[in-house]
Amino acid sequence: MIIKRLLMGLLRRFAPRNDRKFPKLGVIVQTLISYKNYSTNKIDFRIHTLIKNRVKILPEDLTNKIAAGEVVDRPASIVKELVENAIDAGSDEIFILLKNGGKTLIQVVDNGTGMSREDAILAIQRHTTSKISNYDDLHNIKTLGFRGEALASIASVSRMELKTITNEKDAGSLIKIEGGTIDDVIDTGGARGTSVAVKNLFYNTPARRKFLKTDETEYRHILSFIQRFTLSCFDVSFTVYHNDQKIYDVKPADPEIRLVDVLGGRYKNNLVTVEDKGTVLQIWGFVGKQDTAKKSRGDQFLFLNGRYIVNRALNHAVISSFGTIIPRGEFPLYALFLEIDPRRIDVNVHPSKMEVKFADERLIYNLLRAAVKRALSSEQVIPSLSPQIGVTPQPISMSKEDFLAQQTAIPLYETAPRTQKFPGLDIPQPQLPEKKQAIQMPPSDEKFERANIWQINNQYILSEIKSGLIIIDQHVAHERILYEKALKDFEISNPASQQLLFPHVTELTPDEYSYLTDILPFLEKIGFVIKGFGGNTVVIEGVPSGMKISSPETILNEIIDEFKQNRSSSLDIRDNVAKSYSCKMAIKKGEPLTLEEMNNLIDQLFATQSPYFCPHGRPVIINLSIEELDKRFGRI
Amino acid sequence: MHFTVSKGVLQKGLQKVVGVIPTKTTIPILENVLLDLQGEKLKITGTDLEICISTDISVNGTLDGSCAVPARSLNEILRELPELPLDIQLEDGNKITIKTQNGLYRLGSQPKEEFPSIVLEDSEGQLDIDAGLLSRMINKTVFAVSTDELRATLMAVYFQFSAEELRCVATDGHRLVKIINYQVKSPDFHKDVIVPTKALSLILKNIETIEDPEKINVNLSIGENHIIFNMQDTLIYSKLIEGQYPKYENVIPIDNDKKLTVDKTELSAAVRRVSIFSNSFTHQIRFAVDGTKMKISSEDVEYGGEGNEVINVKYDADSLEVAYNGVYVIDLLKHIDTDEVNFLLKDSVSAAIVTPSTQKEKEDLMMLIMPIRLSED
Repeated sequence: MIIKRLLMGLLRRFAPRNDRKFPKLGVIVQTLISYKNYSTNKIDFRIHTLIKNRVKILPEDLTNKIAAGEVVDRPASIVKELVENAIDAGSDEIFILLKNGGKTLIQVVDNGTGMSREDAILAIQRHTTSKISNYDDLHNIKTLGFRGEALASIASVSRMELKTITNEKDAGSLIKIEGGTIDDVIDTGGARGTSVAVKNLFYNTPARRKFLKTDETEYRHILSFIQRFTLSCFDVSFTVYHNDQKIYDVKPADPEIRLVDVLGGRYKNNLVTVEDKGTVLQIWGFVGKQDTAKKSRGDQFLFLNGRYIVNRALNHAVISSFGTIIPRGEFPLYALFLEIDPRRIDVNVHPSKMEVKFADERLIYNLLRAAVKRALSSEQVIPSLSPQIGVTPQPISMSKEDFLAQQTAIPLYETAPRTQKFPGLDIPQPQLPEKKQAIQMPPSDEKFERANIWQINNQYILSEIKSGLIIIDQHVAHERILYEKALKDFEISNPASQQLLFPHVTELTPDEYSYLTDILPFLEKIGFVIKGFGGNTVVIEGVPSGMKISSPETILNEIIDEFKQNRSSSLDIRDNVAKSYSCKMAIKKGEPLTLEEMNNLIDQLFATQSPYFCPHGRPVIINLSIEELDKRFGRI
Repeated sequence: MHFTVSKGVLQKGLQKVVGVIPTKTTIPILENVLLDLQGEKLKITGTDLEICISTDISVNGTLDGSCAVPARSLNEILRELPELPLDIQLEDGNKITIKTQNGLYRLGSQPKEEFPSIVLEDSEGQLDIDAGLLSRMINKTVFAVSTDELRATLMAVYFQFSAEELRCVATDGHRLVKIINYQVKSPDFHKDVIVPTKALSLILKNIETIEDPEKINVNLSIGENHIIFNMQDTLIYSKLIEGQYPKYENVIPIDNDKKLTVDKTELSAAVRRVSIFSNSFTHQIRFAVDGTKMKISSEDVEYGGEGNEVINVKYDADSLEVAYNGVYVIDLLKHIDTDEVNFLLKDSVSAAIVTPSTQKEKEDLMMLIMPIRLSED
């Protein structure tokens, strides 16, 4: 009865108040009261059971499955976690076996240090890791993994077999786990290392299984992860099988060789080494030469302290250091390794660890950009025809050595200063000495045998030179000429503007008009005479002299449009105007040229600072040497 | 079809037509000429679908008929053959044979039906003009047309027929030529038409083959969409260019009061020399006129070339400096027939009027040239 009185007191105290914080208390108390008839000694006091239909502490297997959702979202992420573990365990041989895009089987076998049985069992539980032990370590992460959730997460959504042997003389352990629960632990023998086999992924989470894509898609995802590992762990050999087919078999190798091994022969002899050892940031790695750039992304790799990362800003730093020599919409290869004091970054942003926060991103950006630019400026390559006939893939363009050798062979290029900056870079400020140089550019021995000059398809100009022949793309050649001329025109106040007999009136949109006001001073320097005509209407009274302009208003619209599109890139306004102008004004393909026009074009082209590349980075000249021809005809 | 003809006669006829045959075409039949024999008359026709030329030659015909044969092959064999009588015969409907004393040449041919035929619409007016005069009107204008394919109306000469005169105008937007002949009147119709340059150059070529053009009349027949030039045995049909010709009258200045008179030959020679040192892009040359002296100069900032000459002129207005595209100046001067040329100037940004010092009888020739604007420094 004492108890009943006590309970009634409680009820009076809580029930009427309908307490918001403890809404359940009233219910609990009432329920307790209902126990009054029982013996006071035997009241079942499990409040737990009373509230479990609302809020409950999740059983461990479920929490693991939930967490698995973050870490393990598809087979590829499992491969990534397992390979990371293998690398962290100091392995130098990693085998990866896949079946059906990893859905049926993912097995990663390494020859690393292995784990003791106790460690192995612990590893399957969440937040167990040997990699960090306290909070301070979290800010000083040097291993790839550290969160301690991977194995547990994977185990919880699959049937896993973990075999690990620390020492060949001692018995190892084979642990079988099903859905996160250890089924069996038995002794096993074999070579040192760890093997994790993950079967029937997501067998117990049908919802997630449904979200898996086709085998092919999952397989591709896995491959891209594996690619990253092969490109960052050069001293580890990787052997990969998918559905019993050997996909990769790369041995420890020099980074450059590994890169070509993994990414393909097109990059052979086409890589520029980047190296910059600063105090804050150490950078090394490779960028592909401009003519190996691809229309699609995919060959861009940035590794930070050995870990593959995705960072838009740094990606931009690299791409933009190519400046204009890579056309928009094309992407150069890069595989760059940044080493930075781990305290300056935070990788614990997302479980996949691909995002990184930098303490000073701007600084890293600038350092990276400068390093790549410097590396590029030490190279200058004339794209030459790739011998696509023949069995062995050959380098698409010449290596630096080949290039220099060729330079001496072809008098045409001999006067090109070797220290000249990379084409397309840093031109916006023409300096007087360079102008002088331009004047001296075509000395007598550089002349073409001008009798032999042809136009092909109203698009390419073919001309004989001593060492063979060159092919010039008329549009991009003219673009380069106009581009440099525009940049020069910006500097000198001497615009030559052909006045028009019939001024062209054109109405712009308010948007276009506002851009026009931005770029008008530059257009005037080039030779446009454009005046306001009220509202957004303008009248074009003069155009750059010596240009063939059918429709000044169309050209103006196109320039504004192009300018608008380029605006988001890091171009400065004058560079942008010059590019937009040259792109739109240059003779197009399909335009027949007279002999005189062609000669003129070639003369002017070789008077430019970077005749080999258009402002967007496309090659202007292709060189086909006699030697090359000999090769093709099987003479040598 | 069977006829004999001397090589020379056939070749001469083919020459008149072959210029219209397109060198690159997606329609293979256009690479042919149509041979059509009726009695003693062989009609040779070529076309590019815009322009059609046909010419009649006299042959010794034995069997009427027609076929289309590859123009280039026919032209080449005729060029290589000596002056000989040729026996030409259509065989099996798809081959023609050319027989000479010692040789036999066979060419593939196609039936007449494959060859495009031109449907002639009604003509709205006709007029006769002597070939020499027509040639002059075309020659004086056609050099100033635009070469820009995107502006079809300017790749042509504007013909204005009226009761008082014939007027031809050409411009490329930087220069303009207007020639009026008061002798050529078309009292019955007034029409303004745009005739493509290609047709005009074919006409010029044909007139060149005529020995005494002043004595030959060309009959012009103008329809809604076409113009036909009919001279002697040759007929040139051309589609007209549709569109609006620029309102050129509005841009001819009326207040250019600074008159500069120069010896044409002297000026032309000086401009040619100085132009060599002008910028190869802009061809910019400067005229600096002050009293009786004019300095013609050029400077190529990029390559460092420069040149100047001073010539004597007649000029009594304020000193003036103005720049032109040297190529345009040379072009204009080529078409001035008189020893002296007049420039009517206003300032350094407005059009200059260029005329011969004296006009030919019943003619008015006027050219406009737009300057290159000089920097304001």
